[in-house]
Amino acid sequence: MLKDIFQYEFMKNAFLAILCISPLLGLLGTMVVQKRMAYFSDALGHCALTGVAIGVILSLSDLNIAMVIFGWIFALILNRIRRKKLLSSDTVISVLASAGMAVGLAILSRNGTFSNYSAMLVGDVLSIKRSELLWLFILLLFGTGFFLYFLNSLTAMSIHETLAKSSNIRVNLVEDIFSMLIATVVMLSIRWVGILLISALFILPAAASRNISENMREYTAYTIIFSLFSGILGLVLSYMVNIATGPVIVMIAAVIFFGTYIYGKK
Amino acid sequence: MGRRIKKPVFVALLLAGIVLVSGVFMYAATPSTRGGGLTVVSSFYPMYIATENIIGEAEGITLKNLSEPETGCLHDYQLTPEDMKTLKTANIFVVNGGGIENFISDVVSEDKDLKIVYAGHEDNEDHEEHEDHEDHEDHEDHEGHDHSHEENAHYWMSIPLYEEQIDNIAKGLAAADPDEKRRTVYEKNAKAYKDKLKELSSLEEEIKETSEGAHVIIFHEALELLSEDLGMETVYTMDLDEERQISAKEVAEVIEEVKNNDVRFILAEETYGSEMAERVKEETGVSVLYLDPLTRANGDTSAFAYIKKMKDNLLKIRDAL
Repeated sequence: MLKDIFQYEFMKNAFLAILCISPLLGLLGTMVVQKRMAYFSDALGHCALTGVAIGVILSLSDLNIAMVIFGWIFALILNRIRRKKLLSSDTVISVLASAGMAVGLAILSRNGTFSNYSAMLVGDVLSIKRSELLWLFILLLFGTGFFLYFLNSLTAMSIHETLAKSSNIRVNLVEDIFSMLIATVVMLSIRWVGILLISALFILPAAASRNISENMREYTAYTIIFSLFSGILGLVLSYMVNIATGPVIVMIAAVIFFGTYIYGKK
Repeated sequence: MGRRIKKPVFVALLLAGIVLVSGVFMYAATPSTRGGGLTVVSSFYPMYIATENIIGEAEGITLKNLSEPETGCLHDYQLTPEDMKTLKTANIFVVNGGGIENFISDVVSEDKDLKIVYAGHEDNEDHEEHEDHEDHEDHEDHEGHDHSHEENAHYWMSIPLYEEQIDNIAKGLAAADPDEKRRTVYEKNAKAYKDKLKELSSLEEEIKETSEGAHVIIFHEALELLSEDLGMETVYTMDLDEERQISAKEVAEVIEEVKNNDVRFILAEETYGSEMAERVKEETGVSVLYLDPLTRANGDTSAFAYIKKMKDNLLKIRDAL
């Protein structure tokens, strides 16, 4: 029964994509949860629509590029405004996210053709192309490298920003690169995960792991295990029972979260 | 800590439990069956009905349809993994062509052995060009629908064009089927089915005597071919077959058209056109006919469904004239 799955090109592509993306989602997720950036990744997902809209207007053949570049710009602007500390972080994110989403919706819904893009909301596993896999793999290597290299800085920043600054960590630079990395991962996975669920993939495995972890090593290891597990099982299950892949992955991750929550409370 | 089970053991148990439950779900889901003999898959409803008639009593051949989209037409339809499985078991795939099935390029790249039969009414030499949208999300945003810049491809709504489609499907099946006996059946059935359609053609002729030159407004592209066959003049077309958002300006435009053009009636599809049509009716008093563009089965997959539904459409127009 399982053998059948891999006779399809699209399933092979999807499987390889999940192998690349889910450990990375997990890794970055540990920091997203630590740094309380859950809302940030959600906002980025919503803005993916604007990236698509810009790509459509410029009639680019590869929408990924437009989406990723727009994601970077959005992340950088957001960090800039946030650092001014005139408004609280959640307000800034919410303002930018709604503005970005409104522009995207406005452009994509002219002529009443938004339904062409509604697949973006729930994701479509068939949209993964063979040519994209190489990019996902490079992203995995780069993301892991960045994470390991800056692990201490990131951890210090997530605990106490001022303290991190005083110990010569270039907080703004590290934060910008980290945000751009998240933006890249969000934009490259959004078409098969869907806008509505993208932040769940960052948050749930890390949150589940936090329920039971006592140190950074455990935290990171369990997050990656949970992330890979829900990704792979979710793909197989969604194929067998014919449900969209994104929701299945999130549901599995949610079950893990509640399981570890109960265990952690004991 | 006082924990009863060790953490790694707990995690392993939790994950194993989830796998077990998933396994039960997978087992419960019915696997797609691979029937012996030849399997033909049709892309959507009118193609299914036409192929059903052509195959008729031929032996050793099964016909399946792709899962039905909830929305009106196929333009924005995305194949589900279930569809991919269905196509994997198929030998022949019958499609309308002309850009209606946006996903054909995906199917072609996935399965090189699948024989595709284009029912499209004209010589389909250039179909590759039409279908060559690499990705449904990547193509540029044309005015209105993707295919509105091309010719209207809802061929099945025109009875003469539908007859050509029947011929094309019969020829395509014959070319793809190695079985001599079945090939003669296709030809015979296609002819018999076209004979049955004569009833509709004569009804059309009868209606045409009074409908010729009548001004109509159309709320579904598919209905345009039908009104053309009846010699009616379309003064305004608006495609309302998806969850399309209408701007206030467009409503005003339609109302102006009705007032200025002595519009006889509006032809619309009930599910997607009724809201707009009722609004215009309220404002101008024009009569609205709700016709079936035959894009969805609505439960009727019998071989006579096309004739029955088209007849209903024509009778509605006749009664309104």
